[in-house]
Amino acid sequence: MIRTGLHVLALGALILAASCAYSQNTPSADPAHRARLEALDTAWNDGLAGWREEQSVAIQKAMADMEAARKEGRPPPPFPAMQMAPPKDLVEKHLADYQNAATDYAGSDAAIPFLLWILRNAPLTGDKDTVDATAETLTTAHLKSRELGEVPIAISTCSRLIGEDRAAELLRRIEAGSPDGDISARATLARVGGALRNAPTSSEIYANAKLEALRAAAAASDEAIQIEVTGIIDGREKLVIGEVAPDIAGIDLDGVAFKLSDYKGKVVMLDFWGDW
Amino acid sequence: MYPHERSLVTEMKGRPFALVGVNSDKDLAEIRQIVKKKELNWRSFQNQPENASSTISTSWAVHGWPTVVILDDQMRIRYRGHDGQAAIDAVKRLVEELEKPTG
Repeated sequence: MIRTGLHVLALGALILAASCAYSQNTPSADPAHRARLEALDTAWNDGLAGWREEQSVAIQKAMADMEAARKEGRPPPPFPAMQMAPPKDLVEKHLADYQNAATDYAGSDAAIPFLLWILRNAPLTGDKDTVDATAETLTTAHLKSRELGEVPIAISTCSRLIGEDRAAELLRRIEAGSPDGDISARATLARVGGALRNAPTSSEIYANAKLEALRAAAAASDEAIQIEVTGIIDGREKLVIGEVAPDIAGIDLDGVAFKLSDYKGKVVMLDFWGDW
Repeated sequence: MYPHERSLVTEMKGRPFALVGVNSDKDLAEIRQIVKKKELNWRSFQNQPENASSTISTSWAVHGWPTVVILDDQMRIRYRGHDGQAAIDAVKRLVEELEKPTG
């Protein structure tokens, strides 16, 4: 039961994380632009909320069915398939509005949040040409913009649709052409992140990815990039079974300082949790 | 999950075991209420306290929630993953080993 509960929680967290990834946009200084963006985002977020609610109801029903089967001594029913991303028809319903806005603001960096939405969400429709053209526009017409911070990870996410080589080409373009060292570093990390996270740590591809990521992190001024790279590498090389865990010095939910090492000498279950 | 964690903490009371959380919720007031209402009997770090530039979960390369890490008495990692039952089994085995008289 605990295993099933964990899987359901993990599923819920994944759906939440996935839907968050589809719903972020940056604020704007121009009132008309901000109003248009907010209107589109509100409509989209309302659609997402409806989809999430449907998923939540389905999960709760499946849990209730499993619990009923357990009480009656029946084998548990199969857990229904859950959608891990917003459905195609929901995205298609909003896509034209974002495309129209991007067209209206074409040539100006005000188009970026609309283009970014398309880059993040159009892959769910399977429309490769639209995704590719959007990534092309972002990495040419807006290459010098400092508003491209979230573009590298979005390109990386759609690499399966547009092709790994094409995604790498676009990311290399940002690395070479962005005047912002942090955006450039994010592009490097997006390009080598797959190998850094998944290639065997003894492989040459991992060694090369690690080298590139460390170089990019060292050149970045954003400390979060450095922490992310270190975290990924430590996660692959140090935070594995058999290794001594690093200490945590933090504060509890009441703001009182304590350390993980306060519990040295005991067996510790360290639980990364949230009430989702 | 909460009932199982609560039960584990209760079951292990007085034995060399601690459950330590890393909580990722943004709304501190709300999570404090949940801790009280659901009688969560373990201490948790804030994953990203106000003004912190990064999170504990990032430093620990945690990419999915919930993630459980089991440490032995020397803080050596003995389990890391998402399988609650496997984590509890590891805890019980390690605590029994630790309680065995030496020599």
